[in-house]
Amino acid sequence: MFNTLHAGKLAVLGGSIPLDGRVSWVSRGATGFQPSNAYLLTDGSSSLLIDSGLAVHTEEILDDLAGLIGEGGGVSIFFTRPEMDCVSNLEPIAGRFDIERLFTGGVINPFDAFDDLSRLALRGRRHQIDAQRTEEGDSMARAAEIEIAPGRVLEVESPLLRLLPTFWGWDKETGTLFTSDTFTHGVMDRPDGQRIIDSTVEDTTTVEQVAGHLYAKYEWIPRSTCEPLREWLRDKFDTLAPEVIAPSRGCVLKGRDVVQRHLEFMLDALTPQLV
Amino acid sequence: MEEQLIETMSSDLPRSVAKGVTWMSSCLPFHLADRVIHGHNSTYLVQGEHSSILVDTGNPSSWPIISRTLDALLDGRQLTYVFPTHPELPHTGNLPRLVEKYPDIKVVGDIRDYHLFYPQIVPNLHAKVPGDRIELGGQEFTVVEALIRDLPNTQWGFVPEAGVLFTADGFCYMHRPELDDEDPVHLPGECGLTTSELREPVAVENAAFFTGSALYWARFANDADAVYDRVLHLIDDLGVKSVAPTHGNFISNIRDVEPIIRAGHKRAYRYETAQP
Repeated sequence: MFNTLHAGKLAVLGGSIPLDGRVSWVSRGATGFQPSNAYLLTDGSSSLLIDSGLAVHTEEILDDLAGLIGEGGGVSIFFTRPEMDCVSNLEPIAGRFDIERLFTGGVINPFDAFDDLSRLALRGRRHQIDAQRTEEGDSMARAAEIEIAPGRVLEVESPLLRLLPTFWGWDKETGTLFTSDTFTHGVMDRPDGQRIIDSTVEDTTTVEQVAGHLYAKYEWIPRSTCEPLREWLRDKFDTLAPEVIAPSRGCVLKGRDVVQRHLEFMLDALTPQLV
Repeated sequence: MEEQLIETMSSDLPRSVAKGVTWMSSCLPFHLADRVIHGHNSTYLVQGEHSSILVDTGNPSSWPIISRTLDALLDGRQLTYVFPTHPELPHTGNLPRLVEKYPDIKVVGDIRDYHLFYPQIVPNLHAKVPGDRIELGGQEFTVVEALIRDLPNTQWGFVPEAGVLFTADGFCYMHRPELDDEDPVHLPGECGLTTSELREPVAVENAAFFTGSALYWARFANDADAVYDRVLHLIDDLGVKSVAPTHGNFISNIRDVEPIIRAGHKRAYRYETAQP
């Protein structure tokens, strides 16, 4: 069942996965359950889905989407990464809803995973969001904008902190920063646990936990020059002052104090000698 | 319709590159103003006397031609194994279709996460760790630790009889310096050439560009020598004769190419002045 993060504006959809040794993006020995997240930004009758969740959660995602936009409704989609934890449900969503626009980067067109007939019908709906790359491939300024509805946009950028081609999104209206595969460390002790860490929740997160999740996928961090990453991250949060951190997996981090605390955890994790 | 929707496969391929090893590649075409260039997205078929293994699956949009090529190469036999090096679409995108075509196929490798991405193929998943060997009949496939990788659940493979090391995104490069793209590119007519056959050799600038983009972490980690020293040890220990990357030409002269890739990897590091 989806959770409302901002009434009429933002909801989080998806299921949870057991951390049982069969998941590569958490540290070995990690336990508990990790939320897998897709987010729906809404404005009146317009909707933008950010990522599509895991295939193992197809039914939850489709049912949640039907509850939010109506059976067969129209929706645009933005993928933060062309990785399977983000794109897995594109085809089933296309089978039950009308995908109006698809925003992705890179050279792979996710519609190409479809059968020819569907592909032919949908290919033209893809919008390239990184057509203008920086010369040396550094972080892309917040140049790309996706219009959710007239007067409301999702600003898109390519972060300096990434592994594969990745995009973060910024929704000024709800103060939400969509961070894809970073800030993924919030886990639950049961599959139906609290998927949002806010001021009402006892937050037991430690820097070791944050570092464990970060290094599991970004395994190069402990042997890297991290100062530029810390500077970039601190500047980003100073500039935007987000109220919500919305990762593609892991608990949603909500509230200015929670966001600030977890930013400090992340900055410490990016100082490996402290961990 | 097919021409518009599927990636092309060079008429130079498939090509036998070593004993029992066939290089199959679909090439993603990029249409520039003045010419067409290609990006390799290779798969390799290793055949023994009684079994066969496909290394990587290719992009979903290549499926029709990959399927036809497998039909021709297998000549009525079933594909026994598929070894996806890591779960990115160009490497694993055809897994569901392969299982549908060959229901008894065993998907081998580091199969963490696959149950979340492809729940319908769980019965076909068989976890392997470096050192595990798969007997194909007069030919063996060995799982090897990936020494250069992006995703953590990446593995390499080795076929001792043929001396071929499969390196996924490791040893990928482009050799057209003027092009601003993250994929290794070549011109039509070069799809099926080995590195020793290329008219224009790999340049350090090309290796640096690709490394800095596709292996993004190289700009932060200043340890290229340590990485490639380990690779050379592996090459010596295994007796590697040639290297088969997914996104570049087949490397038939690894001793000549390795120093160029190493130099490019070093050049991809951005923060020399930040070091103590």
